[in-house]
Amino acid sequence: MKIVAVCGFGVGSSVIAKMNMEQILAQRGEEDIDVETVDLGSVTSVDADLYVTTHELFDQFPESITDKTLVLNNFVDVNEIREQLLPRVDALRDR
Amino acid sequence: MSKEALTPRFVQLGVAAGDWRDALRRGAVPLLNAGNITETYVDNMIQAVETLGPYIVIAPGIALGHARPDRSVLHTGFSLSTLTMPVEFGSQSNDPVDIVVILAAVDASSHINALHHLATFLGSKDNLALLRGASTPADIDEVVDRINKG
Repeated sequence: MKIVAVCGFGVGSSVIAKMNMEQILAQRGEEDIDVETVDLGSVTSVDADLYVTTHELFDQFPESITDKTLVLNNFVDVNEIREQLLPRVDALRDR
Repeated sequence: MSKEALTPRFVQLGVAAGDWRDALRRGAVPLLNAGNITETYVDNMIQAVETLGPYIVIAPGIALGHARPDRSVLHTGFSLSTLTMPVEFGSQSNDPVDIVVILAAVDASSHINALHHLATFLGSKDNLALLRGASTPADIDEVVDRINKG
């Protein structure tokens, strides 16, 4: 499975989101999920199972991937990210 | 940047900012003074918000100002500021902002270690309470200490 965190340049907020998601996934023993970062302009060139971003950038997402996107209000609160991320990961597993 | 992620000179408490642009400009002052960035980087950060929206408000009250790594960044680093009066960035869920982090990276990887320290620090409600209540040089030392240990 592949998760991509998206921000304006792929170097700031998305990196923080990636670090926190990796920590959450590692804590649950998920070993076959790759987490990467990408900038908004390149988002369509990266094929992923789940895209993670903020409200403001989501509004600019291409329609083709909006169904595969998780919008987070908070990129730094690990508990809040966990509550939103893990149900999405489970749903992807059940496909 | 040295082995430490942060030193006290990059922390500012009680910055008075009139609006979000001012908050980013004032938040960047320690990095400008230390020669980490040029004025162009500050302009680029502001332009990024104008173009992409206030997505840099990554959590309630917390803005992570940054732009693309380019020649306007001379040394990787970040600064941390608290505002006396919170400002609106236009964020859908996280306004108003009273903590401004300015991140500058020379490339896509040199700042990963610093970001790790920063993310760990910002992820703790205790740490955010400490930062928001900080007012003295000793408080700054405590914040810096927690970031570097994180």
